[in-house]
Amino acid sequence: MLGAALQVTCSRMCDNLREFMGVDGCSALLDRAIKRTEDRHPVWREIRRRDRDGVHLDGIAASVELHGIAAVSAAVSALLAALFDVLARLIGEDLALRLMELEAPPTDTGGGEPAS
Amino acid sequence: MTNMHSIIRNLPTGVAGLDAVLGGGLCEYSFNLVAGAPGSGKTTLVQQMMFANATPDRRALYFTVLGEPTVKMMRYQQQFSFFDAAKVPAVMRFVNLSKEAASGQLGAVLDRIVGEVTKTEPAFVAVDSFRTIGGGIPTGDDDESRILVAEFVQRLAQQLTSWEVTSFLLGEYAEHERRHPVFTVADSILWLSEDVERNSAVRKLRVMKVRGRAPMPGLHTFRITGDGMQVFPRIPEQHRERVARTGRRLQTGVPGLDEVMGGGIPEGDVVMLTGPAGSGKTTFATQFVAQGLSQMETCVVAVFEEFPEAYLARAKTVPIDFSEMIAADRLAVIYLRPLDLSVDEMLAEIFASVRRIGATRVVIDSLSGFEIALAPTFRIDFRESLYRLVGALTATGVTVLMTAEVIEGFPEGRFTTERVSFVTDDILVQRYVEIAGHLRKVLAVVKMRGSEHATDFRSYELTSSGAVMGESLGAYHGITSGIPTLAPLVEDG
Repeated sequence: MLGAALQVTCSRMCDNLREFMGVDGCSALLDRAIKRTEDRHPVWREIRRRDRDGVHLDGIAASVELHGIAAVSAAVSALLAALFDVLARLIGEDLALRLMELEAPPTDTGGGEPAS
Repeated sequence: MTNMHSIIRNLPTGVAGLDAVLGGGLCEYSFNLVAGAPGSGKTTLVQQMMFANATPDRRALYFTVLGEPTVKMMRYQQQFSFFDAAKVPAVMRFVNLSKEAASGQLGAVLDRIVGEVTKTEPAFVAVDSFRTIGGGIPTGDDDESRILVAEFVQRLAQQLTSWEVTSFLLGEYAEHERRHPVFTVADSILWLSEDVERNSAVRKLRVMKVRGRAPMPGLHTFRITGDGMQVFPRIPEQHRERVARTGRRLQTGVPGLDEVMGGGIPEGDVVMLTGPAGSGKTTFATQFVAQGLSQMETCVVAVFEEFPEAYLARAKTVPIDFSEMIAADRLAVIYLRPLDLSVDEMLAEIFASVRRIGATRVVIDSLSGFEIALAPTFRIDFRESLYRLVGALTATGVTVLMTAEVIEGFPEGRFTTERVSFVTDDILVQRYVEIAGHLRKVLAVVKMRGSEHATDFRSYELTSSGAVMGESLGAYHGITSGIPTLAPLVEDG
């Protein structure tokens, strides 16, 4: 259950980043953040998957079964911190926080009635 | 039967000066093209407009395509004061389309845009850069890709209009590419350019087309500062309502000068005071300002040749404290020394001050400095620039005193490479003459429209408390030669 929650968290964040940075931009950012954390959190070498659509972190749930929730949670925390650090230095902490926010982009139309 | 027609709402652009140029603002639900070379300010302009208009109820979608990485764009754009990070991403959302654009499939790009628009229901959409979609611009009329792009633009415009979106397409287009389908479909086209001449670069904006509006014609200069873009519209004189003349005479503040000028300066006149270096032009102008202030008028002084601090220090010769007057909003000293100035930028600065304090007297010290401050491209049209400047100022009813340094001798009365006296109502000329081995300063009124004035040369002195007019030099011959001689007395009988 916790593994699934971590998976959703990371996937949403990646979706958000991919949305505004594009596949290449998001992959470059993930690659750099993983490189900074994988020495202390080698699970990223197993979790990270790369295909023509860039870097994916869709092996988190499976990794929990192999390495335990503590190790994977620590790895995810370290990755988020590294991502934030890199992004904040590029665009500032305020914007980095907003763009990494873990909620999905708005999909409802409740607050967005078009002007007549 | 009532004539029912749709009413197009104007949206403010959030860019100072641009609403006037567009004929009232942006047309709601319009499909706008912002074109120009790389670095011309397209992204800044569109983001400024979108941040100004986007709200939680009227969200904005900003699509980035191939080109500047989004992170870098954000890094730089957030330096502008209009960039409101609190609006990102809930109100202003950035979506990257590079994957779809790189595929070369216009259908994929359109599907993604429409999908995001359907999902978000934004009020504003930008595509930056539109030029990169579809791998560039088709070249020939019969080119198959041209038809594809035309179809894509048409479908995009229809989709965005149906969703009641005000949209902006940004593109790096050159003049010869104006046959691109987007130019046909766009409701308005804003063209940004840069004039480079010698060491000068001046940014210009031209509204090439606005459907349903009458935009201001011509090229309008703009600047990009930390607050974003500011446009300086050309202000044709005929578009301004002129203030009626009162017939009142304004005192100059220079003892003896009012008498020489037939009772003072007619209110609303444009006065040109010319003279060589050191002749006291600024002193005269300072006394003109001080006199106005002493009579509860308000004044604007535009200085080009010195810093305001230096100007205020020199103004200590007059009995009124200019610094106190500034603090009381009865005097504004505008420093307009930056190079590459446009006449419209100067006008905007002066008008803003005139309106802010309700000025009745304006001093421009000096025209020579103004000409140098102008970008070379405007110096070529200095007469036209000055004509517009003076016309716009006098239409407001203010009385204008301009100083100008004379390089050549009196008979020509030239102070620039162009003759500009046609814009003035009154011309005062100062010059040096040698009398009995002494250098003396003299002044003459060359011209006063519709007014009697003295025709003789008068000497004047620059004292510790300012300029003071002296005796008439009517007894001398050859003053214009610079070395006058005392005329022999003609005895009666």
